[in-house]
Amino acid sequence: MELAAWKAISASAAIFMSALATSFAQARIGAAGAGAIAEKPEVAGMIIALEALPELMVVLGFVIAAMILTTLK
Amino acid sequence: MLVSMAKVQVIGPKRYFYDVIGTLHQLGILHIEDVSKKLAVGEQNLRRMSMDEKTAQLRSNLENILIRVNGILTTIQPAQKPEGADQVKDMYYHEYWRDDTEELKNNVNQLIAELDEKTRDLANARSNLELELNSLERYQQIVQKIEPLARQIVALEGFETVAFLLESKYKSLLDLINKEMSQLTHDQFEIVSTDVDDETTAALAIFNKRYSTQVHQFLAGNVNEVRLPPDLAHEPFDVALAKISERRAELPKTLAKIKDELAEISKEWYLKLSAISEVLRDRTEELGVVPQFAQTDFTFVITGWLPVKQLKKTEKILHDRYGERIIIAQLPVDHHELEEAPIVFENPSWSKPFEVILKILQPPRYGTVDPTPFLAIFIPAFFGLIVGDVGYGLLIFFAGLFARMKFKGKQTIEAVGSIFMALGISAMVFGFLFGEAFGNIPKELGLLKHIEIGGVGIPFERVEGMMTLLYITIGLGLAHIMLGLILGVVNSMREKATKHASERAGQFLLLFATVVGLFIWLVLKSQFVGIGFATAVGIISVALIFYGAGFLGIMEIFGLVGNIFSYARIMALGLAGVILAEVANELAIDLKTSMPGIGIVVGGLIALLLHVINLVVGAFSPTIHSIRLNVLEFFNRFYEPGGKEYKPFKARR
Repeated sequence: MELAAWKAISASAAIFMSALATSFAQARIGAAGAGAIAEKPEVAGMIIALEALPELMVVLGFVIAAMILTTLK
Repeated sequence: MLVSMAKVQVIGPKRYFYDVIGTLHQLGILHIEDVSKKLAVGEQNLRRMSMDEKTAQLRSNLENILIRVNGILTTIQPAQKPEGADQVKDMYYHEYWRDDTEELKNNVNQLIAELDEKTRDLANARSNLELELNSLERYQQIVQKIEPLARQIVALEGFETVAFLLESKYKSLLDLINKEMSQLTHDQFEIVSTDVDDETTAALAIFNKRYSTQVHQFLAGNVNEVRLPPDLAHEPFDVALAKISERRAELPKTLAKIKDELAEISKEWYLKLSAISEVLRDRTEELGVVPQFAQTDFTFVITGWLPVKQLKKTEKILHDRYGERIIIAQLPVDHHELEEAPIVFENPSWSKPFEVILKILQPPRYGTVDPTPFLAIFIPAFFGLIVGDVGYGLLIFFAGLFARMKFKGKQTIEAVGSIFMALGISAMVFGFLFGEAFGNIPKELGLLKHIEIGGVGIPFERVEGMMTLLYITIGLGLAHIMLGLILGVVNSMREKATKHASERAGQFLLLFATVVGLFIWLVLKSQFVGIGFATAVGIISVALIFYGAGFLGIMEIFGLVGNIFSYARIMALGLAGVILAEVANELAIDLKTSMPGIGIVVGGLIALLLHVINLVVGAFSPTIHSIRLNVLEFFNRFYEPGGKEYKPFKARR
């Protein structure tokens, strides 16, 4: 297979796996957070912040994908 | 900066006790320390202060009156805050505050005796009328539907009529009811039905009175019989309907009259009673703190903390009012007692709004470094590096400005607004450096002019310089964490935690040795000296870490390295944002060329939508991550939580 094809597959794998990990983490945090907010509405701010943290995984996945596509010759 | 605090003791003869409490309460400076727990350890001459029976009774009376006053206030609460409310309340507050506690109790009791009953009666009448209006509306709806049915049925002597309701989805039950009624009445009945609304079906059954008991028994167990109010129960449906309509026309007038009466009372009494409620709360609060003080046989002892610069003022006020009879003395405090000192922040206007971020954590311990100025520098800096767009920065700046203006007087929202203004400015500054405004629009329009300052090309294009940006952000993380470690050493020294200081100093030295060693090797091209220097200083730093935290401290070095790489998120998030903005612009340009005419509109709308998404995500996510880098990676190196919030013993006005 040509390098271009490998680059495309690798970049999509980087995004796919990191997005899957982020969605898994956010789903768990979201479910637990909804329960926590129902019990203690004052923790809503903290839960929203926690919900945002795992998105870094997909962002880093995206960067890796971009690096694969742009830097590999 | 954290304000210097002084621990003081106020001592005087017991007969001045309540006067002194009142003075301190009005002064609102002293953070009272509960000495009752410390007395348990066993101070021979000091006992916990307790209220005499008369004062305890008085406090209980004041609490009861407060409940009644608050009850009246709830009833007469105006829809809008009256104009000049604060000044008027202030005037009434001081009028009633002048009364001594016994007088206050008698005056307020007299004042509310009549008002309490009158407002309660009016409030009851209002809620009864509202309830009646609601139920009459429902009755009218039902009877209006039933009345034409009743006209279809000829009223016969010896026959009875019953109306009942069914949920529309169970309308088919009417067939079963028909069958059952046929058996019960030997076919001497008739049922007609119609829908009242989407969910309810009304039916009317007429049957021979001879079977009344059996029919009522059957219907009671299976459907909802329509039972009109007692005064209408025996009226024919047309008469009942007329009476309901008449009553529904009358009731709003009576209700309006009652509401007017309550509004009149509210106009006259609301502000006065609000002020009285505050006076009562302050008085009960004053009496409530009594058990936190100590006493000897003849004197009282009040212990607390106040800012050092307020000490002279407090001394003067107490001296002017009580002369030599009351003594206020600053107590010497040892290192352990400082942990009890409450925290007061005092920051300049440029960093003050960032104090609000510290509210998500426990306050820092007294005597340690105030992290607010560092937050005020690094949060906007990281945010700017991530967003780096003049257009987005401008919108974020105006959003912050709008929040400040819209919620003037609400401290927390004003502070958040100011923070967003600072974030917006930082995003604009970095936007200029990156040559970005709503993505790559300046580049597409050919507005960018490349210049070079000190060998660095400006604008720095992030997508092309991805790897350079990665090195810059990791370098920034290294510098940030090294600063945190220096502050950590300062905090540990101030807290006399030698081992902790040793661990942090070791970590700092290790990072320093790595940076300098790499510099000598790679820049000065002296591999031997570079490695030699890094190894020598590295051994010393590992020894310091081992002395400070043992083997776990050595393991912590890996965490330190992980923390530094965590700053790569600045580059990652920024790049994601800039690429999304570019995609929005490219889409608009592509559609413009591929679909002449309509393409520019469709492309523009899609680009606008993507930019809005990017802006919302761009305002939210970088804020969270900028705060996180400060609160986790940076604070872990020096922040010592566990401080106590300064809560001065303070009257409401």
